Amino acid sequence: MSAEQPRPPASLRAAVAADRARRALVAPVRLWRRSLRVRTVAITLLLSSVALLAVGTVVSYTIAQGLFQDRLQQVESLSLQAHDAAQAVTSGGSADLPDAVQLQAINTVKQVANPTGYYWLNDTVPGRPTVLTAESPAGIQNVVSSQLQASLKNGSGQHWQSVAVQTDDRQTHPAIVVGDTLRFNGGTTELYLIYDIHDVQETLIVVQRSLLIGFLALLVLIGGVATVVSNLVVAPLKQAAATSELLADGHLERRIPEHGEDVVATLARSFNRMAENLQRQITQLANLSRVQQRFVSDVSHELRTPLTTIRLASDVIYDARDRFDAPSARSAELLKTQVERFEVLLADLLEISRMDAHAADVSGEPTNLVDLVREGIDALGGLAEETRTEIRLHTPGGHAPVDVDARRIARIIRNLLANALEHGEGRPIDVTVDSSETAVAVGVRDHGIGMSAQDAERVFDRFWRADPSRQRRIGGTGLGLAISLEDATLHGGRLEVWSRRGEGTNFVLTLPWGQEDVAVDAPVPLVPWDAAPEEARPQRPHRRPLRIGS
Amino acid sequence: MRRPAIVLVAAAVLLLAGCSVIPTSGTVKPGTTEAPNGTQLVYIPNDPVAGAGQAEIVSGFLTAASGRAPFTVAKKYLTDGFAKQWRPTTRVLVQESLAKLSTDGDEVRAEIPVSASVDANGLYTPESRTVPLSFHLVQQRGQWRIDSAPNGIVLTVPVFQTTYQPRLLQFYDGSWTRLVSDRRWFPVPRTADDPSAGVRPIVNALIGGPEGPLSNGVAANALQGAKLVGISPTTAGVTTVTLTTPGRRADATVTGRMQQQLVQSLGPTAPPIRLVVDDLVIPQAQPLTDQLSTEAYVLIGSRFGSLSPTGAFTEDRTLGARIAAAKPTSITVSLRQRLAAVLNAAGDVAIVTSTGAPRTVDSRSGLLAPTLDQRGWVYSTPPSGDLLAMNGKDTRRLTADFGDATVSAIQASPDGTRLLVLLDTPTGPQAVVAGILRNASGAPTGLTPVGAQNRIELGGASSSINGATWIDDADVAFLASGNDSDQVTTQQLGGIGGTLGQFANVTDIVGTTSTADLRILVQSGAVYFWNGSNWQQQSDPTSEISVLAVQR
Repeated sequence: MSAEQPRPPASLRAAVAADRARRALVAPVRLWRRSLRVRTVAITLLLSSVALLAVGTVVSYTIAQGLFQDRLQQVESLSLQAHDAAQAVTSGGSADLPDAVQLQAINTVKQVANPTGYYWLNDTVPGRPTVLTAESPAGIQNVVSSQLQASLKNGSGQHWQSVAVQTDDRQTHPAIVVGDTLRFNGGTTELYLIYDIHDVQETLIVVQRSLLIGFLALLVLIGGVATVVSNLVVAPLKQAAATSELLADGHLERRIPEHGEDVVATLARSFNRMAENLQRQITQLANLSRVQQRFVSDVSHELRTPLTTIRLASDVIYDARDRFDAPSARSAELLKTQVERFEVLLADLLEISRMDAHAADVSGEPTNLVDLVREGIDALGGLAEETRTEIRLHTPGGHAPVDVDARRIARIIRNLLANALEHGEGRPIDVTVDSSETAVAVGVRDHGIGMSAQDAERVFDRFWRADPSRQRRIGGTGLGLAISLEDATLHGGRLEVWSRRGEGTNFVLTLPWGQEDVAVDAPVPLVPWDAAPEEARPQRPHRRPLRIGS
Repeated sequence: MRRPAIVLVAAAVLLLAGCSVIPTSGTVKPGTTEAPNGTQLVYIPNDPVAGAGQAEIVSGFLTAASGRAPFTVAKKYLTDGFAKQWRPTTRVLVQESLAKLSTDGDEVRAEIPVSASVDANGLYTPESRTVPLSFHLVQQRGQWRIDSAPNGIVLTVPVFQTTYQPRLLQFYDGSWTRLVSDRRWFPVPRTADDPSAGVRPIVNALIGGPEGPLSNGVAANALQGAKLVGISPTTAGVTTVTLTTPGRRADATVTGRMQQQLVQSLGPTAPPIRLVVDDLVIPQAQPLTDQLSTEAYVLIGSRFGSLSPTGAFTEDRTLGARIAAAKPTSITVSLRQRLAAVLNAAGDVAIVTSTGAPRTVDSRSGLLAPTLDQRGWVYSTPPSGDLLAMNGKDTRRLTADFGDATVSAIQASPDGTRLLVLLDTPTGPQAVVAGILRNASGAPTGLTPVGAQNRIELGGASSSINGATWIDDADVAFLASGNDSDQVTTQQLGGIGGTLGQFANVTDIVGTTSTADLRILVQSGAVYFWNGSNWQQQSDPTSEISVLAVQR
């Protein structure tokens, strides 16, 4: 063996990865579906976050408006004061050097309002310089928009506008520009004061951040609260579900503890009452059934004794039938056959009642199924000749001995073969014995008249005949298949039937190797290989014995 | 287990709720020392208006100079050809009132009333006159444009004061021991400019050498003959200045002095400088410090000593006792040299040392208060202006020409390079700052000639100036007496003047190193100092100070 394991091909790895990813994606969906608590908490969180988001937005907006209005008021009031002070300077200054008056007015404005920047726009006198701060010389000229300039020309009084200014380190700050007109040097001047209000923005960011943190914390707490509250509701439900599960398993004495007066307690009480009724009825029924079975068993036993006597007597009569007249001889024959039939029926009844009462004893010993089948076929050789039916035996497997009760299995095989011969219409019968890792199976296939699907379902019922008008050659008791089914079930195996009108019937007996609870497959397929394609019928389910009592 | 948790949560919530209000009381906490950024005024001149006449173009051109270098807007008023030739930085005329413009065809003549002018190296000369400027205009693309104008710019006073700032260039005195300030005016660098932009004019002016009273060898310049190779832009906060000294090998002493001059001239607000001379990086050196004490030295009765800022008098028992023994009416003391020049009770000038008797060095009649320089020379003169310099061994006559004015007072500058002379001229009082010329061994030989640059007008014939003193080595102060009170005026040498409030009955004014050490002596014997907004008493009200000494 090489030192390094060969790597699986890329396609396989991709498939594994894709499968893993799909599983990871599906896991939360599965969690959502399985856990009521998770659903409750998730929905609570979703709705709460939507509500909190809405509230947060409203609060944030209100605060932003409030902060801005506050600052705007302050800025406007300062600007008004600055304007009045500057106007006083420009009106009182001498006309000798307008530059000096302008400088003085600017200094006054700086002192009164302390704006971030200012822009003095002389309009009438050509050659007069304009003034602004050197904070961002190129930017501030662009900050004063043409609409603001136009509105100053049209209306009187102060006008303001929200703008954005660029700071030295390339950031954009919100700002307010307040513009007003001054009389200066024989003409009018526009004075624009720019106030950087990014500290309002900072405050707003602080508020928003606090809101966010608060709401996140609130959301976490809401999640916790929702978990606690949903627990209150989910816990009793879980308990009810667990108790129901136990009840369904057969523990009929389980009850839900009742605490308090609320709807949960009402649920518990009703549940318990229902369980009580169920338990009583089931126990009654079980008792009834037991009594009935016992009765059947007792009756069968009681009937045995007189029946034995009757049979002996009838044997005697039958032996002496030559001495009787024709009608009496005929009656003696009739008597014998019917008594024999009666005995068989009684034996079957006993058998089945034992099985119902779970008193059937199964003694398993290693048996070769193929030999068993051969013996069965030989035993029915007479009937096969009579009906001129060929019995073909196929043994691909099943040679290994299996632990079974040979008597019972032989009975099953005899019964199946008899049925096949009876309904085979003379066509050949295929008997297949095969085995797999988990089971060994015997299939008996006839190509006779077959049955409808509904009849096939009822074929294992007691005393049921598919076609009551049909002439019976062997004359069974009507319990043969029922007993066969019980025999198969006793071994942990199964007996199944497939049939189609006009094509025949296939009975398959499947027996597991050991007594472990391993899933048993079908060594012999139920649908015969030579059947025409058709929808697969639902198989008769494996009957789980109902255990009454613990 | 759950109950204590609930109680804890409730307590926490209540505590937090209490913190959510703005506080209404609290402990005292120190405030921030970060001052907000000052804002600079920037003038934006208007572009030429379409269809403007010749006078409007010239007027616009003159005011467009308020924009800074490179004067792009001003050049828009010029023709394309002349814009390349015009030199705006040769001089600045400071205009003090409205100019008169007269148009004559395509010539415009402007009469500019000027209060001062600044030359290419930043030297500010006050001059009150009307400067005529003529401009020639041509039509260019349908608009009038100037094609001939004088070099230099004209700025009105407020614009000049906003866009130019004074800087003190540092040169050495003759003995290479002290730095001497030479005030120049340079354009204020823009905040958006690279910090190295303000360095170039200063370096060029330093290389140009001292001007005014400090020229002619009065002050020494380590950067003389150096050539500026380049100034690199500021990288990692350091500006590199590269110089070469063609024709001589600059040794470590010289380059060290260059470094001192450069660093001290740029001042504390400039970016750190790395000086490279002849490809050698000059290491940083400790800055030279002033050596004068900032305390007041006074004579109280028969005791001489120092006056602390709180008014406590400490007598100097060695030199001070001898000074007091001479019963002086005027004292100039040099603590470093341990000597004083006094005008004693007999009216003679005497040198007092801490050992031995005072030596009378000048016994002419009518002598004014003497003064002292840094090298032990005493200067004294009678009102006629016959100035003598004495150091106890030698007496030298100094050549100085004051015209037909009489001298009222003399005082040597704190660095010992110049002499402040208060003159009484027929047109009114005048002050003159003249450099002291010395020979090779440092002995004074004369004063530099008095010109417009170092003359300070102090009002008309009716005003009277009682005292003059150096505030520091680039500013002087005068005591003007009025009807009720006396006015203290200051004057920047190479700059503008100001006033420092009024006081009554001031007899003497003495400065030491800055305006904060400027002191006045009043008739009652109290000494006052300038606390920034008014005169505040320094001395004990009960003490009677008779003489306020000058320190050198």
